[in-house]
Amino acid sequence: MPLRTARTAPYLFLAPFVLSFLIFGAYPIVRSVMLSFYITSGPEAQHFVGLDNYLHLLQDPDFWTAVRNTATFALGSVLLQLPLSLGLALLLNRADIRGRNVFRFIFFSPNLMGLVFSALLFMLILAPRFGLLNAALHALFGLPSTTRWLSTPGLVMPALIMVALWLYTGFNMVYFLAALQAVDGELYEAATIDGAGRWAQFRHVTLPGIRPVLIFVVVLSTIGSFQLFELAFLLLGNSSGPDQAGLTIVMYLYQNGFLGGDLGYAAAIGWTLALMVLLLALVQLRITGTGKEAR
Amino acid sequence: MQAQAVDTAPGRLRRWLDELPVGLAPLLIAATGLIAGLYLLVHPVPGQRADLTMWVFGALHADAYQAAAGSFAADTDRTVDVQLINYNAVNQKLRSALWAAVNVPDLVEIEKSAAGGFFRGPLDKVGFLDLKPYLERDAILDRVPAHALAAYTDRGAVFGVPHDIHPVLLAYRADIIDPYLARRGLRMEDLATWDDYFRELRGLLVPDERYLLQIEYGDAWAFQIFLMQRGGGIFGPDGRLRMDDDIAVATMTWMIPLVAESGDRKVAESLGNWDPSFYRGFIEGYYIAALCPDWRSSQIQTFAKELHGKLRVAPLPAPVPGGLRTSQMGGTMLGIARAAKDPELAWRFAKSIYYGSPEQHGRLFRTTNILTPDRRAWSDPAYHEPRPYWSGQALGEQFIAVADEVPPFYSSGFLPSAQAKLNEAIVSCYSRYRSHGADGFEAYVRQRLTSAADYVRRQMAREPDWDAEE
Repeated sequence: MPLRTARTAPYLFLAPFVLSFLIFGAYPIVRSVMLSFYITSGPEAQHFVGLDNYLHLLQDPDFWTAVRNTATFALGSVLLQLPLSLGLALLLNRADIRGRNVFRFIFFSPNLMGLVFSALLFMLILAPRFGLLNAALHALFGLPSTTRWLSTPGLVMPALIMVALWLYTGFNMVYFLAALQAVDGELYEAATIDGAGRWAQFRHVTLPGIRPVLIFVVVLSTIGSFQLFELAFLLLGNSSGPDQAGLTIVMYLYQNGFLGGDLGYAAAIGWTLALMVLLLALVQLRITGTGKEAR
Repeated sequence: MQAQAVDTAPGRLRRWLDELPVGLAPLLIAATGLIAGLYLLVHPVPGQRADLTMWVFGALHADAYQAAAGSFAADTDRTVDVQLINYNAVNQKLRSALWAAVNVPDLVEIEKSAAGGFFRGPLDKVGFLDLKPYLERDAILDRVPAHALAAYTDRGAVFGVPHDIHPVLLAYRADIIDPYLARRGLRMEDLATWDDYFRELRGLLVPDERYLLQIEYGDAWAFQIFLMQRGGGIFGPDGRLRMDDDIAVATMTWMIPLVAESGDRKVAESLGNWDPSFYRGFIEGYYIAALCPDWRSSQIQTFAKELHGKLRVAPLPAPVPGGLRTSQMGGTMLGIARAAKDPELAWRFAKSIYYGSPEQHGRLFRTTNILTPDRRAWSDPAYHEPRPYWSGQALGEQFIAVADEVPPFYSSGFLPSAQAKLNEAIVSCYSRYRSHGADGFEAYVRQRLTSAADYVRRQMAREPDWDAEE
């Protein structure tokens, strides 16, 4: 009976996945590469342009606007979110904090609400003249209450970063909490005996202890930021905001493919993004020295 | 013997299970999949049995068409499945369906700005049927203002019939403006030009507290209304890009100072076009008038109930004496897919919902305030009855009065790109005016619009000549 043989059974069990991956994963990937060499308007209207989509993309100022916006978002998100997540995790990992489980739930709760609800909520919070944020800024600092967060080019990206901060800080905090709880407590005891202060303990015990998770979160956050679409789309709509201030790479892909109808150019944008994300991840891993241990 | 078999069977099964190389779990998963598959084979999900499928993105449209589908079924013994799909999802689903030639609806409604993207490619490969022969055969062209078809006409083919024509009027706070004008012996209708409007109402302006008009300057929405009112447009006939012509320059040079000036020279402001702030601003009198296509009048009714009896509509003040007193904004087309199972039947249904009885259109107007392009329907009482919300005005009559003057809107596959560049230009001109004032502003506007248009022209230049290739 073939199922009993260790040689064939794994292949049999893997076959459904491999088949479905080939059909729904590999084929679309190959097809999208091919598509990126065409200007398209439907399957029966494809005009082969070779690498022209890619060359045009590199000279397309809107693409570079999208790259700049996306990089700003990624940088803002990572630089603000991660220290905040880590700080919250350190705080809520302490045994002497009362109600820490409640706080953990509160900080994580934005993830339970769903992106669409969060976007709607922030549209109200950021509304000019009648929004909560403007009201608070007006009451606290006397700032104008008519600030148009989502309609002023220079404010769109800070607003997106702010919403992302609210949405994802708690999520990253959970990763850090899990990592912190895995750090051996005896190391802290030893460090204390050796006279290490809090900062020294953080630098020499905590950070090395959570380093793999830290790298994982940084890489994932960067990749996630470069794929930003839903949040910008929900808050700004098809237009991507005033002066394209909220235009991200994926948004630009969507505009060309699904609004403009040229899936070929959209595919070229998609593959360029994939390449950028891959390079970025490799650079991050290289900087952090990940993988060296294995060698 | 029998007793021995009973004793040994469980043992044999256990041995067999123990010998499974990757444990029991995969077997259970496989078994569950098998059982589920067998169940589905025995109880298949009922297939789509309707004779026609239609995709619609507006809930009110869907309600009306579902009701019409009932009557259609009674008259013809043929069924129509009207599916309500999110606005953005319609475009994506339709594009995917056309690409894959799977699950293509027989009829579909598409919003005007997205329509052009579906008309790209060789004429005979466009996913929609050319409806011109149907419109000619059934003598419908005479019933519809010619401009209403412009957005859906490409290279002479009519790929969609218009659901609406969307004339733009001015919705204004009658409770504030009318008494003020009356004291000066004037009526709103007397303010024939925008210059008249801003001059005569200046006394109502209170910087940071009350503005005379809502104009959004973060996108091209209001700009397009003014542009078309002046006879301009983003595209002209035959797909010609004209977003940087003299009319566009004049419109921008005129509009931007209204919102970008300072102090009491600033007469217009916006808190957004679509979010609750817009309605709140109108309710609280932060601005006392707004550009109002027919569909927006319905939204204002829904989201600004506090303004019941306080609003009226009036023709738009013209850019120049004797100029156009309306414009247009928005629109929806109905297309019949080339892949439709029974195009003739699909056309019959399309005709029944778009060019049916006046009563049917009247019902739709009562719920949506949307004016049908079918002139024959304009006689229905619904268009002539007073509306308490609009201070007793016969809202339909107001829109009908300007319906034939509505300027044409020309679509293009490059419309999204052009609109994006226009948005950029508007924001940029606003910033420039804020920082430099009127000094050299016209030259800046011209340069900015030209560079925006050049970008779109470069994109358009990449487009192959599909029909020549054929």
